[in-house]
Amino acid sequence: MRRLEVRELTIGYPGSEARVVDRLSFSVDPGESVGLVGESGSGKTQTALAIMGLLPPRARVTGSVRFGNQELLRAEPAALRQIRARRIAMVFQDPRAALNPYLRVGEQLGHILKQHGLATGAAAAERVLHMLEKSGLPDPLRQARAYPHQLSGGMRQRAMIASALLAEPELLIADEPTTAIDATVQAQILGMLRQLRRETGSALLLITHDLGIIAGNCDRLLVVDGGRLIEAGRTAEVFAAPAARRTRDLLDAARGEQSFAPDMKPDERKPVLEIEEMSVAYSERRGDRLWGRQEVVAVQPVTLRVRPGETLAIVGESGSGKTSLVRAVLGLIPRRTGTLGFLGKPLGPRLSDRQRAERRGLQLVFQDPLGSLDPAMRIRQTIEEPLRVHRPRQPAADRARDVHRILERVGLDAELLERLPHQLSGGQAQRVAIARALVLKPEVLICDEAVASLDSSIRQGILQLLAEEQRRSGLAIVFISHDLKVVRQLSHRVLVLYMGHAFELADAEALFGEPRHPYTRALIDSTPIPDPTVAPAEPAVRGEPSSMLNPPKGCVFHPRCAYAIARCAEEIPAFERVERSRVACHRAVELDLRVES
Amino acid sequence: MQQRGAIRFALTRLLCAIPTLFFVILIAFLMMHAAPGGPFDDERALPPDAAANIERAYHLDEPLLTQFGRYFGGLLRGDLGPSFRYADYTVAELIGGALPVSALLGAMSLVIALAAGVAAGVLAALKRNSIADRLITGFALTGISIPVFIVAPLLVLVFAVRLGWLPASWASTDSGARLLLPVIALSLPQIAYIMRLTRGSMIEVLASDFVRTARAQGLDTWSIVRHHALKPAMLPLLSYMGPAIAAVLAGSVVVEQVFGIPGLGQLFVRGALNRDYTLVLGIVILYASLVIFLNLLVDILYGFLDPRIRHR
Amino acid sequence: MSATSALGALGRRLAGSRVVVVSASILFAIALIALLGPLVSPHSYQATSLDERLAAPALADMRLFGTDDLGRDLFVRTTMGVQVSLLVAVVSSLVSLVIGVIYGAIAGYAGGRTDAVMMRIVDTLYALPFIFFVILLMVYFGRNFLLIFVAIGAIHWLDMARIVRGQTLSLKEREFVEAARLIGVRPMTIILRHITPNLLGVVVVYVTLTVPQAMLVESFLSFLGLGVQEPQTSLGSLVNGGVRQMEQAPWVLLIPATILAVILLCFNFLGDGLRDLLDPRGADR
Repeated sequence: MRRLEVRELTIGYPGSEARVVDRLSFSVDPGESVGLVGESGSGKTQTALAIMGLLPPRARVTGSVRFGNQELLRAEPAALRQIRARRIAMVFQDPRAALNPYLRVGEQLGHILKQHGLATGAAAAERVLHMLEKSGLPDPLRQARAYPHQLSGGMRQRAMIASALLAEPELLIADEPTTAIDATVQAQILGMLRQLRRETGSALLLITHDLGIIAGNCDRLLVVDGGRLIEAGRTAEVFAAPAARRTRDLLDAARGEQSFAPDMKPDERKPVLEIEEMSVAYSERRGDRLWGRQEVVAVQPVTLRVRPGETLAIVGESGSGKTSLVRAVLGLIPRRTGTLGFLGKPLGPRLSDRQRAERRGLQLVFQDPLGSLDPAMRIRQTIEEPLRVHRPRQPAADRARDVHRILERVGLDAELLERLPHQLSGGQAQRVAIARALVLKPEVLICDEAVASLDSSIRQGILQLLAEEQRRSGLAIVFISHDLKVVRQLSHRVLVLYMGHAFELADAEALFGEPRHPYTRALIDSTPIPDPTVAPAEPAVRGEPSSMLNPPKGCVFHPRCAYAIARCAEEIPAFERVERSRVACHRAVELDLRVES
Repeated sequence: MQQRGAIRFALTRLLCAIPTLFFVILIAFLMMHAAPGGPFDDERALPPDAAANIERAYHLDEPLLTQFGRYFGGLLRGDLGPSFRYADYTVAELIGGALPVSALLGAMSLVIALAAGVAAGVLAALKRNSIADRLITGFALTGISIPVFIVAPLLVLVFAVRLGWLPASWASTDSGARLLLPVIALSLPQIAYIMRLTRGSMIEVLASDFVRTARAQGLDTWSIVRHHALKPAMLPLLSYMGPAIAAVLAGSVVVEQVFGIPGLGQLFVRGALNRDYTLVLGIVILYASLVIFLNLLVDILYGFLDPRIRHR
Repeated sequence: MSATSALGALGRRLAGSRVVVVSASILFAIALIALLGPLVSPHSYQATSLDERLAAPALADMRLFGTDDLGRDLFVRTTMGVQVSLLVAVVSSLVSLVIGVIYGAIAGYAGGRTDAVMMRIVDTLYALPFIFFVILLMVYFGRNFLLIFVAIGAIHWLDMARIVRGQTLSLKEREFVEAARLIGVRPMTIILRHITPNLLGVVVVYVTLTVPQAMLVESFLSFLGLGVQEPQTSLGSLVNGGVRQMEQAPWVLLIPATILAVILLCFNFLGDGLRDLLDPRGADR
């Protein structure tokens, strides 16, 4: 077994003075697990690509990367190919893009064995199936014959990990291996990876932005910022006493202890938004016949009230229906059943049915800040547009004053007004998007994963901004997120959705302390805890969500639920009040799912 | 079972292609008949009753829709009607005489173009920005920029007139050598197009994440191209080949004119200039059916080659 | 204003690309010579001179490109050919641009059944050979300079419409368009203010690549004898005239052929360069 030794690694690109990676030195011992932590643009992925020899040819690389006694940076292509997969293997972030869509999963793995002369024919097929099985793919024979797009996100990443471990490498580099994956599945995959490493003894270089994942998986950790190493040490020690200020900030953000939600007296005022038995459906091609379409219910009938000054979080994994729900509220997609009331008046089902004045009160902030700004429009035009539409006769001077006022409130400098979106950072762009949404003084602001694509340090600033707006104007916020940590920081009430069904609705405090639904508890356990002294939780949940085209009978969660009883497979549970919560579970009363803290 | 998506896809396309073909025929027929002046106009003025006789013989005196019905009925039986100009021939006979020559030349040049274009395109993409790449791209852009009616006469000037190696015209010999210059003239621009297309899509595929994964797995360049990159990189070429095959089989007016080849292209232009409506209409319909059929074929092949369509 | 700012940013990046600068300069020089040449030369484009037939190029008497089989001055005729060919190509490209952008943007933004019908029409027209249209037009209206513009423009708008429709389809799903809808911006305003400016890059590239194609079509029509009428001329007509004389006087063919090829090459290089600048995908490898 060999040791990886990186010395003074520096990476730059022509046309830019900045170094993407700047004199980075570290090592990974045989069998050791090291975390490489940093925010986007910190150079962590570039470092991994440099070790693998996969940087684009125009990259300028200096320093040294030694594996055992072999220098990798100046190695011949043929020598590098010997190293890849057999000695050092890599798992990429997005398995959807990283697996070849035109090749069956089994074929892709088979080519690795053939290239390295490890096995051919039946022996290779045998080995591939064995590896897929060890990676937790149920029915490996079927999975091997499938194309990547036929697998779920979690299954694809398992296949990717299987391909990396197939040739039994001494070192595995995993670049954000679970970032694109739902929380309950992420925990399972990390558990599988720990198990496989125990069996093979391979070393791990785990690249992530999430200190919670590091805490449960890495012996040592390296913190990079702007391409430089700013802190290194044993995980437990760094977590207990971080030396660098940046590390402290990252840890604070990861722990998410700061609460932003303004105090609120519940049920005091009349609701601004009333959702009554609303459901949403789309139609999908039938999988079992040549012709015809079937209706898929993305959101089952749900009733909700949103009050002024409160933040209601809607939580769920991909396919839970959380985005469909708010898009139907906004009128971007039609609803199947139910009614909507806004400020006591009914709202039409589609955007085109609503008057301009009715559109004003409900505004949206998108996940991707850059995508939500017109790339050809200056910031001033973007923020002015709503004013031009709703107050066409407003004098120019008043309009300019309104724009400056809102800009100041979202914490942006007036000099940004003449810029184009691509000249802004992600955080700035999201502030512009918030300014555009708030300039019309809406009653309800809907945030669809509005901080999910932002680095944790910037995320905190945006959360703070939203909370301040709420305190100032009594704005109601509907906050959609898959990230419980963020939800906990901002929201007053939480709705948990799963495959279109409302599972639990409760005050944030009650929900996080005394969850009533096994799924809620599983979600809480799936969030990695940024504390190396706590063993990573194994959430009481199996497998992945069922297909929406063919949902299970009874409770849709029962095939994955550790507490399921016979009745759960027969009968859909009603959404009923249990003490302070509303829950859809047959065993809500008898189960004790309290979280000890 | 697995191919259900592809079959559904193919059937949908087929259902779209049939009305398209019908409308093409209808539009071509109506446009042709709306054109002023018939084939017999510029002959010395016929006595009125003789003109009426001719009109009756060709059913030109009937209402337009009846004429279309008669024509369409004939089409279904493979009958394209009589030629207005060459009174002794039917349109089907005229086309049957010219099509094989054009199709032979076209097929030969396309096979050459595919082999040379794909090979050079892949090479250029693999060795991006090398001297070989620059030469290949330069050749491709030149090939696209120099029109056939310049290349063809130049080929004649150099290889037939000056060097005397090859025959200058079709009629001068019966040997296979007369195929050579026309095939070269036809294939040069095709090589250029196919090369550019291949290079572009290959570069895009080589830059994709899954090729990076394959490199991270230690696969060598040849394995990456063969197993991972070639198939996706060829898909855009497939779309191009549909219309290209149709155009090439239907013959090139320019090449046929320069070398004096009795092909479909010449027949069409001469028919159009002589106002031989039935002949022109026949060729237009043949060409349109070819285009629609080949595009359908390409779509269906796509369905079977791209697993994301196959399993939808 | 938004469109001009996007153009300005594009312009600055263009100035950095050697291919783009060189091909644009060559095109500009050729156009300038074609405009000024006839003013400087003592000869006219139509004066024949029977004792000076097929004279070789020479500096004397400003017979820079020699004469053709009727003794007409080839330099002046070539400058005229360049003017006519460029004019036909540019104007017909603009015709195709206007029709194609309007048609494509409406089909793409409307979507659904409207889109399906509009695109079926395009498919149908695609299947008809374009010479068919051109010859029919000639038969209807007789040979006419204006008609050549219309004929060529009428062919190329199909491609433009397809491209613009595809772009519009993906643009209208983008979040910034949804944001505008939520604010209450009217559909027509969305097309004009948000969609069209973002189509600009693609459209500019495509027009640059349409111009050389239009020149080829014009030359092809001249080849069939359906182009501009003598004694007026175009590069295509000149080349075809040259083919008849190539054995005795190769320059009659080679000079206009080379100029035609250089212009086409420059437009193709320009279009490729623009596309690379606008679409940096894969530039890293």
